[in-house]
Amino acid sequence: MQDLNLSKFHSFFIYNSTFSKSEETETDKIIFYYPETTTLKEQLQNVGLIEALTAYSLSFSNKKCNSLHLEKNRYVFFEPEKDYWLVLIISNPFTYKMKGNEKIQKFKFNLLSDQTLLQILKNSYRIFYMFYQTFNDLVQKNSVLYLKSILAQFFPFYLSNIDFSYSSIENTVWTALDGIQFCSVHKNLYLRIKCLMNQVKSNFPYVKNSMLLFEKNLVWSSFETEETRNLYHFMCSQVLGQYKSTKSKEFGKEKPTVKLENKESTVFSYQNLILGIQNLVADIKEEHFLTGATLIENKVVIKIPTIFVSESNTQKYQLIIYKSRNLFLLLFLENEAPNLNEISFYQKLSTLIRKEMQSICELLNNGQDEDEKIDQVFNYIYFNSINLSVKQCLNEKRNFSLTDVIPQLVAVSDELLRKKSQIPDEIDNPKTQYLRFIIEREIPFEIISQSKKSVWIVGKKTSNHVFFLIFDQKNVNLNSIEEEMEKFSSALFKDYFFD
Amino acid sequence: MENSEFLVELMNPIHFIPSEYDFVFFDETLQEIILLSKNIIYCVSLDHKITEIKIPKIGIENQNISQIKLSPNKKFFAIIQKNDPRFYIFSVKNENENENENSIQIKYLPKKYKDKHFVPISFEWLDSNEILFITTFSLEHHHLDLKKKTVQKIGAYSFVFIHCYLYQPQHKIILLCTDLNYINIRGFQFRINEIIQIPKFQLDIPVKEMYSKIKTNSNQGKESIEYKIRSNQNNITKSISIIQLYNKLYCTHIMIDESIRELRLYRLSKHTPHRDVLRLPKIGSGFSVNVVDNLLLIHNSEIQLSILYDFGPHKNGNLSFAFSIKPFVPFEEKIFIVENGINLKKILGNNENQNQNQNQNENQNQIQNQIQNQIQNENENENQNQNENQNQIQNQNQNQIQYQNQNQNQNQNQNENENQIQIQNQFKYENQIQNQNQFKNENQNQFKNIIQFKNTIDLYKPEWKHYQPNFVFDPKDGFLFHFELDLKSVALCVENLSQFEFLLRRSNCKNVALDVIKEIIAQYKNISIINWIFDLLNKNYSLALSKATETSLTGLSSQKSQIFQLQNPKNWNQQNIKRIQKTVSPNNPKSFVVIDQEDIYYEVFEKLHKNKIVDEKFLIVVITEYIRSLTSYNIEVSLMICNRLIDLFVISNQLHKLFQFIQHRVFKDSFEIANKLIGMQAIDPKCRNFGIDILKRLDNKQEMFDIFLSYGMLNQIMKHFTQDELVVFFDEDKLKIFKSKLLKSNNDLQIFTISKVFSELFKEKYDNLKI
Repeated sequence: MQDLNLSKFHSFFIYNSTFSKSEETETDKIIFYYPETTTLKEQLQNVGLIEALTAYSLSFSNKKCNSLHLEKNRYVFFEPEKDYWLVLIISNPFTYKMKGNEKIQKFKFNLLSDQTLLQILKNSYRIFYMFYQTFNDLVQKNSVLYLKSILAQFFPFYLSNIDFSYSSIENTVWTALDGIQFCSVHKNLYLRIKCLMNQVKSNFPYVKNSMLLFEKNLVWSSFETEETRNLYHFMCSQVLGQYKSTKSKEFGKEKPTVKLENKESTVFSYQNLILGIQNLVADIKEEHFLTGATLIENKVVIKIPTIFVSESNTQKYQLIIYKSRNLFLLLFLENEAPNLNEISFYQKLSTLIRKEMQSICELLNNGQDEDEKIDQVFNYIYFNSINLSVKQCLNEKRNFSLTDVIPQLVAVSDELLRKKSQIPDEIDNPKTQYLRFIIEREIPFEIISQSKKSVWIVGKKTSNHVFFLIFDQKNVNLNSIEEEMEKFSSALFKDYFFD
Repeated sequence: MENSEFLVELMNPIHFIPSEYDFVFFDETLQEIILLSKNIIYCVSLDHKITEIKIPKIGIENQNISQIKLSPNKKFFAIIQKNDPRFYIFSVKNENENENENSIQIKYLPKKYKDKHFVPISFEWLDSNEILFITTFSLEHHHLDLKKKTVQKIGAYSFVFIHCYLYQPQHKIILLCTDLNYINIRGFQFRINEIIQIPKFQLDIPVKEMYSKIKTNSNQGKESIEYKIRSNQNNITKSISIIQLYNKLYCTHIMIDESIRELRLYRLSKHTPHRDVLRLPKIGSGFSVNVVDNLLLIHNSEIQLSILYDFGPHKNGNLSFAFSIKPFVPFEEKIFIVENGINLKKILGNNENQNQNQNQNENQNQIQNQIQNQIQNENENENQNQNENQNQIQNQNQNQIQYQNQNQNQNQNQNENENQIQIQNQFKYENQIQNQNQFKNENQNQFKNIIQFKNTIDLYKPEWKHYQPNFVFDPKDGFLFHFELDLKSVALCVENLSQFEFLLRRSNCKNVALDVIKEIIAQYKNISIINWIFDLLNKNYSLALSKATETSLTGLSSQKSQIFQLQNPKNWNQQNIKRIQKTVSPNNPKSFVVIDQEDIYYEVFEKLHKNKIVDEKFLIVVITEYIRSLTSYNIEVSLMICNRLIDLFVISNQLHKLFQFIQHRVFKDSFEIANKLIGMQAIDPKCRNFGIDILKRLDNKQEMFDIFLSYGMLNQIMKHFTQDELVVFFDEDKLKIFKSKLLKSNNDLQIFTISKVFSELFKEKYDNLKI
């Protein structure tokens, strides 16, 4: 596998077939296409392919299909709003094979996960919605042209922040699970954090919601689970995408020097916002605001983005992010809250939270070390669908390489995660009857897979839990795997009811 | 405190007509009014009970009785007759003739010593059969021997001369003045089978103000003794008191002369008394001292002002904090009238005319301001002249008080340990005892034929006798009052946190404090204040819990080792002590009343919720803060609070926050919570999962089985219990329930599979119950 060429981004486009009334206006249906250099002919061909496929698939199922597996490319498509389709095309990984003197590409078309790629599409739409709301809204309030300009501003930058290489668990299985990595905190600390949030709300009544992240781990959120997931994803993939833990003492010394475009522009630019925050995140200063009153080139600049947290919540918020070392506090203020343009507001806020944030950060730093010591026995990835908690524990002294394991893991996860989503809408047949039977009775799915390098992966899915256990022992049989599973289950689920 | 109402009021006045009795006094030991008429003693208790005690014919005319006191069990009484050197002890007359056979008549004549005649000064009952005789030269501790019908001396102390004495019956402490200058004070505490000497100390009285003993001759020509003060003609005992503040005993001495106006407090302990000084206002005279709920109440009869001082959480052993009161209104309570020992009527009193009140208040305010200014000026001047060696702790807060620890110059012959308190600023002398203190009986027409009752009562009268801790006895007009803190008025004054602390240090403040807490929450005050209050309450709650645990482990006996142990008030029975242990902290100035989870739940959270005083979301915040506070003191959160919070989360549609609480194990795992959550599965299926998780952690399979069965979780029962467990857990009734729930499922496959398993399992046990 060492000579495997990783998957690559091929193209991404958004179309709405209703925008084209005739063959002459066929290009109007393409609202956004990236890369821009793609020929119009190819753009139309790809759009036409998806249009045909989605229409055709309805002949067999009441659910539109969402992926197309070809030898060279994998297509995934997603319809977030009626008639608006987001399509992502990824080149399959490949190896070179010599056929005589000729070097031929051999594509590995089963190494990508539809679940992961679909999730990438969903996430991109979620984040777009946070800042701009729906495509349809933009068209209704402005025009298709305006929508096109916004998409052209948002997606190239957004896509440039995504790693399509399938080289890490984060970009594969984890993305597919779409979970939240929680920071484990003792109840006393949790209540203390809650108390801090209550104080903030009490002193600043315009603060409606709050969220606290310790590095990329969620500590606290006042939002509902789905909204929290959106925000968490935004913070982890966009704001803290390049963030490294401050436990590495070198952190902050290499401050990226990203030049912001159109700095003085009054028009909101997603790219400017994210780059601006990323610059501030990397700043060595221990406590400061990332949005709100920020210090840019020794000048206080007050910039507060406005966001919508989810499609189900129409409330518009102004987002203030405060950083205290590796702790990030997100405050969501009522839109058009007064005093937000006054420095005194930020001074008062900072005075209220600063000490407590430092103290909480200190406790979290100490607590994290403790946690890391516990989970050194098993290599696993765990997801709890009740609270969307996702946890990954890969022993540093493991005997396998992640590059070897990831394709196998992706395959197992794709199969496992596909099950539930497929059953309800599929036409009744013996297989679906069987699946429905075991789902209703909460009988877990279990997939055991062995790679060529004797790495075993067990994927198990119950109604609420999914986990992947990776063994690197050689010469083990299924019985010993079963024993190992028992041990693992009793360790991981000692406090939870595991079906 | 500016808008405060009257902080101290006179409670439960008891009235009698002094002229109708031969002998009238307030017995500190019994805490009852003693009225002697002919051969009957009427004892009127504070709770208005009258005991009638007949005394036998003893051949002594009532007019000749100089002192008469009943023993604590009221079976005996002792007498000193005028111009008679003997002490007499008699049994009271009993209706039961057989008991009369055991009656005693003891005459005790103190022996002559070195040609000195021991003239009886007084006596005190230490116990029902122990008496202390005080003569001019000795203290004699006697035991009443009922068999021999005599007294047996337990111990005695001789002195050069006893000029005066002060007895505190609660702690059985006597202080004696044994020199002509009234400077040297000797003290003793009487305990079971032992007498403890309190280290000698000196009252700091300037030479020019020394007191002198004046001997006068009575009509019969025999010697009797009176004690007068040369300077102001007051009895020295009026200027000295023994008081108890926060479990510490003090001898207080009011020192007034041209240059000094101080209250000196000598801490009585096994060590040499430590002296503290409290500056008194420069206006007024006729100071007297009482204690109300661990607060020192100093009355100034001339200007009719009273001041409350709180020596609460003091630093480095110094007195620390002064607190002011406003005028109090008497007689809002019912007055209890005694005539010839019979309770006639309770007459409702009223406050006087409002206009008069206003005018008088204005006058009083002028005086208060004047005093306030004087004190400020005085302190400013004193500050300028302070000795360089003075250690000053100045609080910049204008509402605080300055303390000074003065290392006094030894040449000044003053105690090295003297600590002087100066009330520096903003100290409000609005503490008027009711100037508007005249009582009018609205119902006088109704009662005029029954009792000749003076319609008005003057307060701050020179005839008033102040008894500790909080009694005022007016032998002239026939009144007994006691002072009480009006907690509701105190509560109205709570504007800051230190005032709330002050409130919490008061006994019986629980209900009022809970009302204040409720009010603070209802006003949506800053959550930090609510946090602070909860932390304060729970700190004490936690201490009380750990003390209760310790006490239950070690027992109460260990406390008896203290040399200078304070005794419980007499009405503290074991049940009371238990209640106090549960609800009230000891008299420690740093601790407060114990307000537990039950109190907060029923009196605050429930009332706020039921009366819809605050919205659910805010109540969630408040309860969360309370839980945080409890948790930070390692106190387990009670189930009722958890249940209430869960309900509020559901009502306010914040289940996601409830789930966070459960995830972080804020609620202790319990079957009740698990059951509740599983019962909420219709609201959100996740509730069921959290409920089952809790059951797993509780690790009680029987309970888990019952809950699964009650919620019809048949698949879980079949999956998670072994066949052996199922055989044990299923009884006939449960099997019937299971069967009916299974049939309701309408799942043929399930019914078939399970019935097959069951027919095997219960073949022998319940053959007739085949599914």
